[in-house]
Amino acid sequence: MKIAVCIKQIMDPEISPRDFKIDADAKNAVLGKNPLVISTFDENALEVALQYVEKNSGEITVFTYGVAKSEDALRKALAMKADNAVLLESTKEAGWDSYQTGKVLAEGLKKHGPFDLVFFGRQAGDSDAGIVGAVVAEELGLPLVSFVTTINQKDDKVFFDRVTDEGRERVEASPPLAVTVTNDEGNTPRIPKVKDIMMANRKQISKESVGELPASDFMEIISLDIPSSDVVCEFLDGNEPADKVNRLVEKLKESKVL
Amino acid sequence: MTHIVTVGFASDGKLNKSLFELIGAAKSFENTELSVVAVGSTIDTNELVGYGVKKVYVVDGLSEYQPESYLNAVLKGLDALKADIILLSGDSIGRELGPRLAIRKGFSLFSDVIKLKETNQGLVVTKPVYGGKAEAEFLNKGETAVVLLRPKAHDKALKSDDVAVEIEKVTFEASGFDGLVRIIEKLKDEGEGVKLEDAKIIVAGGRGVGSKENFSYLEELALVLGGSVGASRAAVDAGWVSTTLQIGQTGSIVAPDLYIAVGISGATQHMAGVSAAKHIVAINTDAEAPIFSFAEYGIVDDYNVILPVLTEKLREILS
Ligand SMILES: Cc1cc2nc3c(=O)[nH]c(=O)nc-3n(C[C@H](O)[C@H](O)[C@H](O)COP(=O)(O)OP(=O)(O)OC[C@H]3O[C@@H](n4cnc5c(N)ncnc54)[C@H](O)[C@@H]3O)c2cc1C
Ligand SMILES: Nc1ncnc2c1ncn2[C@@H]1O[C@H](COP(=O)(O)O)[C@@H](O)[C@H]1O
Repeated sequence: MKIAVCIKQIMDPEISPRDFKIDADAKNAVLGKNPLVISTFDENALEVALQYVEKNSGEITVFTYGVAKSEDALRKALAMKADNAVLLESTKEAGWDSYQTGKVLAEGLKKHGPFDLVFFGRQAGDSDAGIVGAVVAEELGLPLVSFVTTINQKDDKVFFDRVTDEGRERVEASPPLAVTVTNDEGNTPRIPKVKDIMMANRKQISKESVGELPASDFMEIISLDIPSSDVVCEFLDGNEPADKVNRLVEKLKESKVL
Repeated sequence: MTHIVTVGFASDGKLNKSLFELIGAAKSFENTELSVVAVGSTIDTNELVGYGVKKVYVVDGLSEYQPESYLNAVLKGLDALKADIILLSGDSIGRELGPRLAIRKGFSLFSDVIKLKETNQGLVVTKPVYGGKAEAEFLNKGETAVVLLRPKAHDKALKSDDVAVEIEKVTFEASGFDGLVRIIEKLKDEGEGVKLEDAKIIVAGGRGVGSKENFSYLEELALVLGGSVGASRAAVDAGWVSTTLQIGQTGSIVAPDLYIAVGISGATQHMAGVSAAKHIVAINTDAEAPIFSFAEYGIVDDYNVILPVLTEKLREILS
């Protein structure tokens, strides 16, 4: 099976709100001293792909579209044991338009493909959009299986466990397919071994320039703000746990939830 | 005149409740015409009487959700219309169909939208970005757009009259990728009570709960309160609870009367799923945890100490 995983490098989404700053004029977040990481769900996607290959067989190529330093994300993916890496290198960060990003990725995938399975995270941790996977599926003419947690193969049939609002379900689908991945306990990303990190640093990464994309035809960001909260928490203190609990119960009665 | 088309689904005959949130959002626009495309089986269009809906395009005969056939059905319904804005709920079906719909129609696409308004320049939508740490406003540069609304971000429309709606039946024709993705079975999760989306009271646990076994403290409290148990992503990833219990931006979006957060730090991605909760209580050992800037009431203490006492007390007064 020939497998592609699309990963995006983003500012660590787990930083505390205290370290999160924006440039309201440039309308983007300020990186500052915050680390860059692979967007979480993309790591889950890579983990699902790696587990699939370990159990069955196949070759994994990771793709990223971004500036030169996105190479670090690809190196980490190689250290997790992806086989090949492709950087679709741009002089500017990928913008908010997921259509454009999807088209760039689809071109790259066509050039290096065809792939049997193309993986995405369910959504990137900065855009919070969840669109690129479907755009690429459309561009490549592939069906899409979304919110997948696990893949299994039996004979020549591929089964996907996925999550919906109703619960979990299992679907059967035949490659070629596009797949978006969501987190669950079975696909928590592995931590690469030191030896593999060293090996990954020596690996060849295929780099292709995509230049700078024109302004989006679809959307323009007009403001970026940090929403303020007017909630003031009332701390329920007391010497004994029972005092705190009693005060809470009183409050809940007052607000009529009990 | 802006023509807004809301899309509803009825897998078991009843239209999904979030359709009424879409209609509520559409009604905040002035000078609009409102239509509904309803996809599913044995759809009861009477439910739509009284909401200012002009016309309903019914694509009937699809009992079970199947991504390609539903997509084709919605497209079929839209053929008959000249939509300016297509509104869908950003639930699991909407998030699958929305992007493909927009691409096929050549519309702009905005997802996870919490506010939308018409301006002189065109449609402007507000959506959280950077995991909810910031909010961005985007101007639609195109003429048309598909907008996925974050569930529970808009109030449901209220019934205002008894004017009958015009119904047009559209016949569905299967095509394209139909049948390529087949549902084999629905997998049951254990210990599921009320659906989180509908729960009035939720007791949610995070990494601070510490183990799978300790979630039983939360279950007991939830039982006494007649509520459900939810979780943060960290508790899901640790394997303590099923991924279907995850609450947040990438889990369920809930709107309970009471949300009790136990050992949850209050990451914006988690709180994105809780913003519609009426009352939030947080129990956390760390007085500096961000959860306390969202919670109405806070107890700074070990939940191991607090929860058994709270459960006992509530059992007393509620029985
Ligand atoms: C793209 C993206 C999407 C995401 N979507 C979601 C989502 O939908 N839902 C979600 O929840 N997260 C989501 N996350 C993850 C989120 O960023 C946080 O990592 C996660 O919510 C943290 O979970 P937590 O609060 O349980 O853990 P932690 O942040 O580790 O917090 C644990 C808390 O428990 C407290 N504690 C420890 N011991 C005790 C004790 N004995 N008693 C009381 N308190 C104690 C600690 O003080 C701490 O505040 C997402 C992340 C990304 C990048
Ligand atoms: N610049 C990028 N490079 C590689 N993959 C990306 C990029 N942007 C988005 N993706 C993939 O598309 C998914 C959805 O992104 P989005 O639609 O922006 O939420 C991500 O989880 C990634 O798998």
